[in-house]
Amino acid sequence: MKKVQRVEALFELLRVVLGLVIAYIITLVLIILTSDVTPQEVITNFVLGPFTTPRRFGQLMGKFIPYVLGGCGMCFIYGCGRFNLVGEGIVNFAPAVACIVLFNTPIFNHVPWIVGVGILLIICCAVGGGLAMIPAIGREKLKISEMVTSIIMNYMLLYLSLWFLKSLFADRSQAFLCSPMYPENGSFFQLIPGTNLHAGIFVSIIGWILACLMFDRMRIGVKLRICGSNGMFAKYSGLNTTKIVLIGQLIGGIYAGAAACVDAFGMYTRYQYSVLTNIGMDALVVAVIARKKPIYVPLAAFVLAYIRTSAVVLNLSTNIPIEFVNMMQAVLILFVAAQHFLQKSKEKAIYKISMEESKEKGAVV
Amino acid sequence: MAKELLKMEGITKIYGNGFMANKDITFTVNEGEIHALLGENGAGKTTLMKILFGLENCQQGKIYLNGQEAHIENPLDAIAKGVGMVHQHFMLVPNLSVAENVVLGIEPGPGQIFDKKTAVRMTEEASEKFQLKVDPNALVRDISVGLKQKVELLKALIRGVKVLILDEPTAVLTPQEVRELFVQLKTLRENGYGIIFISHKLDEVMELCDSATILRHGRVTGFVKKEEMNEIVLSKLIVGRDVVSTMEKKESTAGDTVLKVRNVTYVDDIGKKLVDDVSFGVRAGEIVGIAGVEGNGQNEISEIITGLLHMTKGTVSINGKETTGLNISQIRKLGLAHISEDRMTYGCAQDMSIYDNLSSIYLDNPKFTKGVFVNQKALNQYVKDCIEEFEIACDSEKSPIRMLSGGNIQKVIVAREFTSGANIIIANQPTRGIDVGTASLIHRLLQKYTREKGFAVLLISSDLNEVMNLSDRLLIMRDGKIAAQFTDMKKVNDELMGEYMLGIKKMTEEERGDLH
Repeated sequence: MKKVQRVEALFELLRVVLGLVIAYIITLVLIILTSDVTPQEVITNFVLGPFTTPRRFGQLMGKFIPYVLGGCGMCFIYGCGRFNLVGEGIVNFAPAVACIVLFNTPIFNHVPWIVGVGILLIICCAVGGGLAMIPAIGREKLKISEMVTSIIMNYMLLYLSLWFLKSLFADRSQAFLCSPMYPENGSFFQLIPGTNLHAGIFVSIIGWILACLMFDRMRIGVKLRICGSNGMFAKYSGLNTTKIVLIGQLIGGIYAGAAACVDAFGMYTRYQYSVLTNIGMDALVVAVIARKKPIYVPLAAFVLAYIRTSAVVLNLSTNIPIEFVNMMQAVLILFVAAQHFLQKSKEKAIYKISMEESKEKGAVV
Repeated sequence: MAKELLKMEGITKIYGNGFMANKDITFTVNEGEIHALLGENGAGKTTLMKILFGLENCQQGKIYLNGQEAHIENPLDAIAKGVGMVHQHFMLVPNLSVAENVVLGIEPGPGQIFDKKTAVRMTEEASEKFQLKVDPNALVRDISVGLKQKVELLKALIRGVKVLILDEPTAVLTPQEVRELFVQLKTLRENGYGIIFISHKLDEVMELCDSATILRHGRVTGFVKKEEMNEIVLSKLIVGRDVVSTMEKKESTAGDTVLKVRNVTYVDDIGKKLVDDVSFGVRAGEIVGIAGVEGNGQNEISEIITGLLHMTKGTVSINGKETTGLNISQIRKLGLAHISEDRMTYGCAQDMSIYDNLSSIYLDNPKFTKGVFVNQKALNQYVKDCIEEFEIACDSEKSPIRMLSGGNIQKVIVAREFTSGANIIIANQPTRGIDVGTASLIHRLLQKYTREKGFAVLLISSDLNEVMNLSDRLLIMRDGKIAAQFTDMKKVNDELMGEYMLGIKKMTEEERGDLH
């Protein structure tokens, strides 16, 4: 049986890696076939692009930072068996609320950086957690699909945050809709000047460690996993499933809020979201690639950030649109999420070792 | 020599988790033969039949029907090729009538229009032809289990099958219904049908079957003709050792009544009274058995006591405290443990590890927690102890529980519930569908914990032997009421129990005596 477990683990890994490779090859081939760009150019820009300059690598890290936090959050939501996608709206809305405090109150006038950033983070997390509870409570108390509610909420939150921006803290001296520049104590500084690698990465690292601890070592994590794995069993064991599922989504919302905070106050110098950022949806992708385990989230987040940055680099240096690369992401997810991909080969491998094992046993007897 | 209807040759099936369910099995059924397929649970009988019925595919082996090789893709294909199956759990639509169920999928009528009259006529004709009396217009929801089985049989026969698979057909029937079924099966045999009869009950097999194939650990361990059949030969082939069927029972020394059920009534969503004003008690140090035909309220009683179901009326008290208004966790804390009838739904989370499954009820227990953290050290030790004490066969406590056999999964559940610190155990079908070895381990444990530690056990089981052997006091439920109580187990036999279970006899309150 031990061997079988190893085969299962191996195929799990193989599925992700192979899915990635296949998706990558399909995209490369299609790009080369359909555009007048030479294969060499594609390779340098698309494959190696993100690593060619510090600026580009910084860009990758800038995406990586919120992906880690969002991905950890989605592990909790997805892990307790709910599809609450409100993270998308939280990314727009939570920083907007924080901006009101930042620009419309005197709190930030004389506080040191660490306190200022701390306040921003707390506000964003609180808003995120609170918002995530709306679809969650709807589901648990009123049996409304949390997925539908959360997707509708995303658009509401986008327009609400735009309204806040326009009516409360827009910088009218600018040609586009944005807030005034963030003060120094209200933003994450760049770790390497001139790149997007900013201090938010510390939040991500702490958040990730905390998520791993919560998921594997804390009571709530075990309870959550039991609820997600078999709700009836959880109920039978005396767990308060409603409460646990709500807490799971609360944690997910808090993480989405943190992701929003590091993105809005780390990547940009002003609040300037005017469309949905897709970070919330990408967080789900990260959680799916990480197989709902926070421990794998940084890896998954890096892969996704890499693909996304490659697309941008390719787009800037050739005439290939970004959307083309989104296709690759779709293929990747298709393979990773497909339960039956490689199923036949896995069964064959298991069949083989079982036969061998039974032969060995036969020899012993 | 009789014509060979079916031959399965060299069948090998390995499941996705590496479990070898069938290895090189060869098996034949002749025309006009009732062939028993015997074996412990997990021996591979059901898998073999699923392969024959097209529900599973096998990696090796061939199936011959009437001497010709056949590839059975799915159940529809199997029926078309003349193989029918009556499942252990009936595959009927409760809200449709008997006739509608019988013709489901082969509905008569012009085009898309359903001709109900023809359907009723077809059912009547078939019921006449095969001597299976049913009322075509009754709703399946309203008819008894025995009748439902007849409907299942008709469903298969009307489609013209020649080979019939019966998966534990007698498990849900009373002794009287079993006898009726046997008469019908013998008639079918005379008409040239080939019947595969899966059962655990050796006496039934010896009475009914012409030959038997015995499986153990997925392999054929024997083939026995009717002349050679006797209980010792069969049970040896099934378990590979001699089984001592009677258990020594020490006298019970019952103490205070720790579990009290008073005037409990439960009415379900469609207004059916499933539990009707039931009162009884279980004392410390005794095992109280509840027997009855399935669906007579036993299950609801167990779910009400454990808090999974809310009663309409009445009270339950555990160790002197009423459970009204408490949640499951609070009820458990009063001293109640629960072995659920449906172990895969309630008893465990399949994809989680043995470790996590054992710890599920201790996540709020100060002994196993450190603030918001789980106390890994204490839990590790506990899990290790459980695996040792309850003889759980596994490679590692971190492997998912679905990798274990049914018996070992049940051991994990039993280990968790027995050691939870509770003194009252609700054991609902604790040995259903598991091998003899584990079943006897569980029986021994139930005995040991009641006799030595003064546990109170409420044992609900449809295995009459189990309740008769284990119980100190036996209740029989019929129509949501307690129809009988036996305090002297020596005077009880399955014939007598059957009469009360079917409602032929009923005890008055005086006859029943003190229910505690």
